[in-house]
Amino acid sequence: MALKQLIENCKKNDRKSQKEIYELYAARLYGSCLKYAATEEDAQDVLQDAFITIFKKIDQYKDKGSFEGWCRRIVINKALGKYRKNKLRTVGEDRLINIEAEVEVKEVDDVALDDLLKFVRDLPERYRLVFSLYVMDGYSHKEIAQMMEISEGTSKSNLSRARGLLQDKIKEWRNSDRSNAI
Amino acid sequence: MSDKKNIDRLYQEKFKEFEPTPPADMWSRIEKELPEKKKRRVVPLWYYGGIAAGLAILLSLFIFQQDGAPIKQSDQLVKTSDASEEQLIDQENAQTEALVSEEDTPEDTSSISSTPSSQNAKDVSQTDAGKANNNIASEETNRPQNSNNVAGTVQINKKPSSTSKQSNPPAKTNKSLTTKSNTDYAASDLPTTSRANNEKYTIKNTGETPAQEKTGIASNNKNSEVINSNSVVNKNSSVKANEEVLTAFNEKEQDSLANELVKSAVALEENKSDSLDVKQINSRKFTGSTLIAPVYSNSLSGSSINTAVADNATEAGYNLSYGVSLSYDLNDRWSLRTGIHKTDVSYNTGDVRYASSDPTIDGPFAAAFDASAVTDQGSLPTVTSSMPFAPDLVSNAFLGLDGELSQQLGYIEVPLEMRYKLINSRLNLSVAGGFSALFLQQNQVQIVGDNRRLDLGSDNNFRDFNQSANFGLGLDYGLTDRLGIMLEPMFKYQFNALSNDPTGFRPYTIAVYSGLTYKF
Repeated sequence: MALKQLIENCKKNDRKSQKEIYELYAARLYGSCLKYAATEEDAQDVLQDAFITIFKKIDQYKDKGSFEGWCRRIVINKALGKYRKNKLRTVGEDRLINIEAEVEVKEVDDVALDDLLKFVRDLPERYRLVFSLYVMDGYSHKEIAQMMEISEGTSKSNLSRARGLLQDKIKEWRNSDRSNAI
Repeated sequence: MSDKKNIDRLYQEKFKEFEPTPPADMWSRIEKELPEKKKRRVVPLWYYGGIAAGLAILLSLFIFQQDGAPIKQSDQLVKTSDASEEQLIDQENAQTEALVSEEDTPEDTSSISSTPSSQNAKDVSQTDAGKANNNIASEETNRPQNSNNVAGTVQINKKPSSTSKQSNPPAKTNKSLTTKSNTDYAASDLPTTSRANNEKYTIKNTGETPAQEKTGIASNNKNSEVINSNSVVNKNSSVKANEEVLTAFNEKEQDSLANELVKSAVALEENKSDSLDVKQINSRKFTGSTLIAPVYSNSLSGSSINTAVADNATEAGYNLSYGVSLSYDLNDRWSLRTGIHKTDVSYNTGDVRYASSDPTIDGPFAAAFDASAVTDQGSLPTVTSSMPFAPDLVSNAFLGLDGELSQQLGYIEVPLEMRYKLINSRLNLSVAGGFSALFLQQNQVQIVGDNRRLDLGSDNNFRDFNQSANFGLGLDYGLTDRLGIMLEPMFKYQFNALSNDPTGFRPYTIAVYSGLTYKF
């Protein structure tokens, strides 16, 4: 069935079509959820909330732009919603590790996806969100600043910190991997 | 800096096609939170859907019947003329497609010619004893040409006119000379060609087989009006011929309108061959009736309550069903019937004790009937403490309510049944079989004891929608041409009555319908 028809049916609360839409997009959107959420449980909550909103608000999808993009936006909004709830809590003790800027990350391809995901998840919440928004979903600092109600400067510095932390983790991983190998 | 870019690129590339599988129960979690509207709506949708479908069927049958009218006339014409003949009534506006097929010769021939005409052209067939006049008139150029051929006893008058550039390709290309020339006919603009062709056509017809069958179906391109189908000498083979026309037509994938026309023509032809006697053609195919019936409801086995009282005595319920029905005669013997009834049933289970173990805020009894609170009177009460029953309601205070449990259900029933007439006269005897869709409208459980009835709420175990298989006999007697009375004992076996059915509850009803019938 054409996507357009499925969407039309979903507007009529047709359960079968809703399930089809779910099956089409669940995996892709779950990927996003995992990138934005700190834990798997959080990611599942975000996915669940996002789909419920998608089906409840599908009336508001007006055929402009891709449906997947629209869905992804809802996912990101849900993820940010969680962040906003926690916003009063400061980023706090970031356990900032000194970044050795000189260290180059070589042979990064050997790092497994699961580990990369874990590194992102382990980032302090704001760093993680900024990094995911900027790097993975291609938002600009200006957009990120609006979405997260922070300044552009904060967005930039958060991104830089996030990169630094990730770089460090990758380095760490590689070292332990090497030692394991030996 | 470069390593930072590295990290970006690494993540972008790695996560480009990151599509992890969400947990398996995710959909059910989502579904739970979605608005339930749909589920509630299911019942009315079925309900309206069923009615709409029934109406659609009846309406289409009605239209069908209207289309049939010209056929009956032609049938009568056949009767008046004693010889084998054919007739083709061709009325056309603007564009006309004519499909002519012949059978009887080793090769089937069929051709389609389409003639746009600026004027209305009318074709009337006339039949004389021993003669058949076939008139195919389609005036396009205002130059009708006549070719008269006389052979044997058949005289065929044709007034062919030239076809147009828009003529459709012929449905079949056969080896037959006729078809070949028809092909030319269709493809060419020249009146002379068509004339020549028609001459050949008629010569061939008359030369080989004096009494040939032809079927001509004229279809109007502009609207769906069925103009005509022809009548035929040999009815048995005419159907076959028509089917072949249909096949040929389908092969060429003519427009759906034309297909419909051919199909309806075939169906009409079949109808016609059923009714060999003109008198037999009954123009009143619809029968509307009002119905009322006492309904006896019981179960073959099992309990509608729970396993504890599965062996308790059940007492049949007597209720009422009433409604209207509409039937359509497919032919002399078979008819299709639908309708809408309000049907009440009840199931009574004796010697039970109702002691709700779960007193709610509203009082000692839950708003919804609690089937688990029903026990056999012989068994020990499940809960004896804190049961503030009014002492006058029960024989043994604080043990629960003793009595007969009555489950009363009201359904809207939409049956769809086929009937077959065993005896077809003024007094008709028929057998019927079919299904009903049952939509639960009323649902009440009461306990009856000590000359009191106490409402226990509704039993959610009964499904909102279930079905029954129906069998029965029908007797109807015509008081006048239109008005009659009927009596129908029906047995209905219900499926899916309960959501949770541990005891194998098999409910059935026996109803004796009586009512007035009106044919139209």
